[in-house]
Amino acid sequence: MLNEYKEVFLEELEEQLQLMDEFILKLEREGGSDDAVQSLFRAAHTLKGSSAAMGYEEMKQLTHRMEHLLDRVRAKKTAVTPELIDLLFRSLDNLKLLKNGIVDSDAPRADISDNVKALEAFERRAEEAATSAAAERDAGWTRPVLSLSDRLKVKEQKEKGHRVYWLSVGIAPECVIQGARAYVIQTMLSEWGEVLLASPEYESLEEGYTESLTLTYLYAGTQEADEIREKVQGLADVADVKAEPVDTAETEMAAVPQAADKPTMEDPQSAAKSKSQTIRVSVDRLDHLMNLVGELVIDQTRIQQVERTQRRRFQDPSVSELGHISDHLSRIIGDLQESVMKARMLPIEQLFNRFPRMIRDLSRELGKELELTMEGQDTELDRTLIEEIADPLIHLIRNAVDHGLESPGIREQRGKPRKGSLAIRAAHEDNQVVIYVEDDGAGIDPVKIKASAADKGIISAEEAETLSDREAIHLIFRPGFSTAQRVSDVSGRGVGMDIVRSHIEKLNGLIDIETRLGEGTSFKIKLPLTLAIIVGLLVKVNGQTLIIPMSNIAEIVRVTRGDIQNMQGQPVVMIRHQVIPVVSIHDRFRSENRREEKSQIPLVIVGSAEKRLALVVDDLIGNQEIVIKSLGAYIGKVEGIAGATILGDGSVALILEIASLFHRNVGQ
Amino acid sequence: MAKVLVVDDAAFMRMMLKSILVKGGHEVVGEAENGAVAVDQYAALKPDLVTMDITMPVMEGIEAVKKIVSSDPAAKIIMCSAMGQQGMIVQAIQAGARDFIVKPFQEERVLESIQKLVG
Repeated sequence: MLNEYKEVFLEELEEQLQLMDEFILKLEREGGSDDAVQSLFRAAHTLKGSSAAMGYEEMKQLTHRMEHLLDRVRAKKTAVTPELIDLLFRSLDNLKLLKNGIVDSDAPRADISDNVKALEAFERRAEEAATSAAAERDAGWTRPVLSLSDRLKVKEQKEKGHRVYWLSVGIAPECVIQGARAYVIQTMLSEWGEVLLASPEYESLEEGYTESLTLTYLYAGTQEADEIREKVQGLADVADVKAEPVDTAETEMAAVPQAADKPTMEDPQSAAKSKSQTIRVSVDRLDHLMNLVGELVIDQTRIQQVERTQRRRFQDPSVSELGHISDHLSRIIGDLQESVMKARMLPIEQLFNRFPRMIRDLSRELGKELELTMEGQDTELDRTLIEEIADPLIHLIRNAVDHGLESPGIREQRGKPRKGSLAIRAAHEDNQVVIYVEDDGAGIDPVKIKASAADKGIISAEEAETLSDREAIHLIFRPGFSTAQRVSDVSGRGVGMDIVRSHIEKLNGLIDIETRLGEGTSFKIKLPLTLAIIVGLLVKVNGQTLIIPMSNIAEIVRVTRGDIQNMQGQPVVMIRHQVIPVVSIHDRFRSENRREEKSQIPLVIVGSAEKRLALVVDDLIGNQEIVIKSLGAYIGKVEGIAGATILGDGSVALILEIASLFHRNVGQ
Repeated sequence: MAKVLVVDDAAFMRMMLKSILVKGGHEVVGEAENGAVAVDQYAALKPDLVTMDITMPVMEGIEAVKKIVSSDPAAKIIMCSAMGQQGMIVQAIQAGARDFIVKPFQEERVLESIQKLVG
């Protein structure tokens, strides 16, 4: 039965862990804010409940300890200290590990025993400090004898003709919250008659299992002994009941501590947003739906094509009707496609939420002070993209903190505020998502970059001379480049900017960089809204139709043969004072080049900034929405090809993978 | 057989409870993810019984118990609680809840509690 719930459980787990992340940070920032403590407590509580139900014993234990501790914080019995925050973070990290263990049974097992012990020890220490006085008082407790007023009450009840009993109620061993159970029993007794005394009082009962618990009540009512015994027996968690009539002599041996005032309950959460009406749908289903829509798009293009040929051949009302239907179908499929796409979109908040914690840890680790600002968390994009963009973004942020931002001392020397600032922003810009990572750090020094690149043999010394500053800065995207003097724990772990770039380009995105020496650096990432359907430029190469993703295209130009020059054996073209290498797709795919002597050669310029290529094609056909299909397991991954699509006439066209064209160009 | 309104902020918990209740021959007539929704649902659905989580956003369980009992003093509400909530359960009972069950739920104990209230 549990398996059906696992998915829901994991999803809620993820949500709760994120909440915890957010609120522990808030706690650290604002001290013992009631709202943060309350939310943390609630999250720990919810997780405890669900993990116990799912049978994840370790997670239950850990969340139980956390909840217990947070309850103390909430009741202001324990203060919010850095030690507490660290402990909470540590527990949260372990919860994440436990979660990974649930998702992937091969993941390394988290050992939480130390963590649980640390929580217990922390709580014990806090408790010792707080309750030593109370403990002294409690130690002196003996069962008090019935007070005069108690005895008077018994007498009074008897005079009313009520029967007075000693009830002895044995509580079932499986009862876990005994105090509450005692209270329920007492409440029921008070409905049936009157409770003159209860021992022990429910407030003094600890939670948890005890070997055996017997509650004793002095009860007055109209019932016969058997009758009241049966009534009590019928209550939940009651194992056995004895009822004995009281005589005056006996009442003198009874015992009861006086009840203390109960703590008041916290205010119910008043400021909260109402939940929008949602259902959870598995991603697989959405993927399938998207796939079906893709098929529809393809079929629709085919219908349009058929309709066009029919119209040319026949002058018939039924053909024009076909045209109307086809147009209508287009519109509906367009709407459908948009709706399905929207259904797959998630706010980027999901990803952004991870950053505050990461920044906190990073700045501690590196001894830097910085303030993080985030904007546009509600910007939506395809959930696969959110997952895919996480690593590159994290890498950029680490780089910014590690290499970009200076240490507080240096910043002060340079007349900058001690605290560095890091801004992460997301926004929609004409049907694309743009993400900025900006710091106000040292910026990138083109001179250093050139020197470093020359050292590493990425460029020759002569090349270094000819590079503009802008081109030099883009060298950081070259494979094998890393300016870090030392390999710190944070960045420079072998994953360079070239990986970031190629990762983004695989997603049909672009990355660009702006930097001012001494003032800061800004990375700009542009991503399509979705991966499944893209706008592509159809081109003809050697009679075959190929598709270039529109997102990779910077511009399209026509040049004459004379415009293409040779530079160090590499054909190049000069466009707006920029030298761009020319690549013939014919050569790339070793297809025969039947180059007719045309006066104008169409060039498709792909890439961005310094990294551009001019692709030579035979003909430009036009742009069209296309559905990306993989080539299938049989063919597998082909270098330079991102996938294929089916065109309106039913033929298959290959989609070029621009990122790999660059790779091969660099490799030469 | 009782008509039951299930109140819990965790969809997962609602699913668990629902399956227990249905197995026990009861009918889940409604679900609510917070106290405020529960109060509305109670008025609209008039269930025989309510299972009410304690810690929830928007309106906590105890507040909801107070509201429901003030509109219907005969309302039968079972609190869904967990370790650590003794004080809360006591307040809920004071507010008019009739019984409580403890997470993780054990089928027979949940059904027994319901049986005792509606049976």
